Amino acid sequence: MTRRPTIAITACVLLVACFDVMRLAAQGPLPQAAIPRTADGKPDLNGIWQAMTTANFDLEDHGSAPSPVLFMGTLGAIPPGESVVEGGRIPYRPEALAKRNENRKNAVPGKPGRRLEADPELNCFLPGVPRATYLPHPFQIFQSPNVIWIVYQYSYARREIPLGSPTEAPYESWMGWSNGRWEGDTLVVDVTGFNADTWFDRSGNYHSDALHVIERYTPMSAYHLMYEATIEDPNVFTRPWKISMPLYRRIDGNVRLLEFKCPELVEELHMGEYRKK
Amino acid sequence: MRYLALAIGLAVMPVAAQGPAAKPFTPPASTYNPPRTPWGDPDLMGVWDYQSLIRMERPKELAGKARFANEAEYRAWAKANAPDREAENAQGGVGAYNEWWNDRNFVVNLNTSLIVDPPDGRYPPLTPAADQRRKEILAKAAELASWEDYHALMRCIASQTPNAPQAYNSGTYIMQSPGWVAIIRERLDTRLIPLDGRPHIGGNIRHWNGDSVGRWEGNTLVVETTNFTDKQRLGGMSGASVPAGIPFGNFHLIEHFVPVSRNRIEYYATIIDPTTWTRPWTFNLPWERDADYKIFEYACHEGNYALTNSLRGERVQEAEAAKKREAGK
Repeated sequence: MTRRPTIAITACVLLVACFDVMRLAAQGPLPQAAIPRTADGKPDLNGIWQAMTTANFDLEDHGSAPSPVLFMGTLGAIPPGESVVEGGRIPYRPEALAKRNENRKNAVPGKPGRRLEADPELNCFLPGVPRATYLPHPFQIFQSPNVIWIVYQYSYARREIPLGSPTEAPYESWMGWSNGRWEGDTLVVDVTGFNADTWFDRSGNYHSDALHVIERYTPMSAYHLMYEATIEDPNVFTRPWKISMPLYRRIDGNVRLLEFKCPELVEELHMGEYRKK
Repeated sequence: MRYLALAIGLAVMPVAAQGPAAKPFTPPASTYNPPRTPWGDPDLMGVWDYQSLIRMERPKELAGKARFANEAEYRAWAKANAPDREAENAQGGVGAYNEWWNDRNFVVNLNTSLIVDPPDGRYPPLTPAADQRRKEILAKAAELASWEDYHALMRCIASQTPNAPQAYNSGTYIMQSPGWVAIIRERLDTRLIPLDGRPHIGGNIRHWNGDSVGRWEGNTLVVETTNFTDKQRLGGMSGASVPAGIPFGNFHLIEHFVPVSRNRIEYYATIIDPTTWTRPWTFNLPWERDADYKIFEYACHEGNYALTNSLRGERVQEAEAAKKREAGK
């Protein structure tokens, strides 16, 4: 009972030492006792988690910017953030970079209707992977020895992640086809079978249907996971690239996923012109 | 095709509320002892389905007969009453998607109606106010003035709660973790049910699927749901199983999941809504484990051009009718 506080106090006597502990946590797993575990000895990932980054605005580093919708003023302004991409830049092929820049211009068309050139999030389309992880919404992990489900608050997004023998995607989908496995204390999820219709963020970063994502969820403490996603798509990128960010356990009182059934929230935008006058 | 044509017109007659309020139905317990999760809860995990040939209300020809005598009698009745894919398909034409597309796996049910309370297997009467609202809703919905006149399912919002029979994609995954049960319906809805005794969410937050809290009573999962939105229209539950236009408001729902064997759950849903119904009522829908059923992504809104095109068609027809009237003057 007394050991943990003693260690923490000793470690944090000097600010420098405190930082060292944090750096260590970011680089590797904690001693096994610090991670909550399920009955079968795996890290216990059950719970409600959320990213706290501006990655959904732009995976790369970005300064603050005005709202894309004039009348939203500061309410719609874009908050600044550092890049979550290893090395800072996404390695686009030249023609793909031009397409990304085109996407960026069209992300918020500012006109009514179901506009497919817009950011898919604007239309309430399923977010794909890894974007589902860093949308500004929590998600809940349900874990058993054979299968993991991740349910996202956003729309009806969710994923079944079997931990047995990998299976092939029967057909393409928005959220892709997931196969999971444990590598030590890291949950590794291999995701294929994507369509080409999702973006990585609101800034037009995109992929083709050749997308292959390998996610890694590594416990850092009872309250933190390190999330990493390696992204391969030879149609769009010159090489595989990686993003990473911590995920935080939501511990607010009575926290739970609430309904964000956004199909309802875009009906006026998509169909307003066909409402009876 | 207009949605209203899909909904069957079951008559629900209003009468004045009578006598003291009936008590909600209490489902019979089961002696079956299910396997346990590693943390000690009854383990119901896996895919379940609940396709049903038995309708909400008891057919008139079976009045007075609450149950089939045995499975053979049910099967004989089922054979005569199952939808015939071949015959429907042979009628030709394009039409909407019909029975041909439905992958049916009806669960055997010896009850002659899903409604088990009231005991006559029929909906209880609506309150006079609810009946008036129903008439208004149906009249308004017939205009197809906006998306709000369509069922939530056609708007890709919700299949709605409680689970009632549906023609397709009714596979439902029960997932559990310590303190939680998730009911993951292939078609749209995921319900996340805490079991730790916490209160309901704030009263200003209304959900299409309501807000559920649950508990284990022995091996039975009991779920209480409140905080429903009052925007539900045209039958609250999966279309045709409930007559069109019933104004489901913020009702109180009590569900009992009673596991009776490794492969069967007796599911009971009790609806308590004194502003709509003159008494609580309960239906009992058997769920059967389906190990071969694989839940796939149900990206409904993403491909939902039907709703826009339907509204657009209505407006075009209105404009053409107006033009004709103008020409006839």
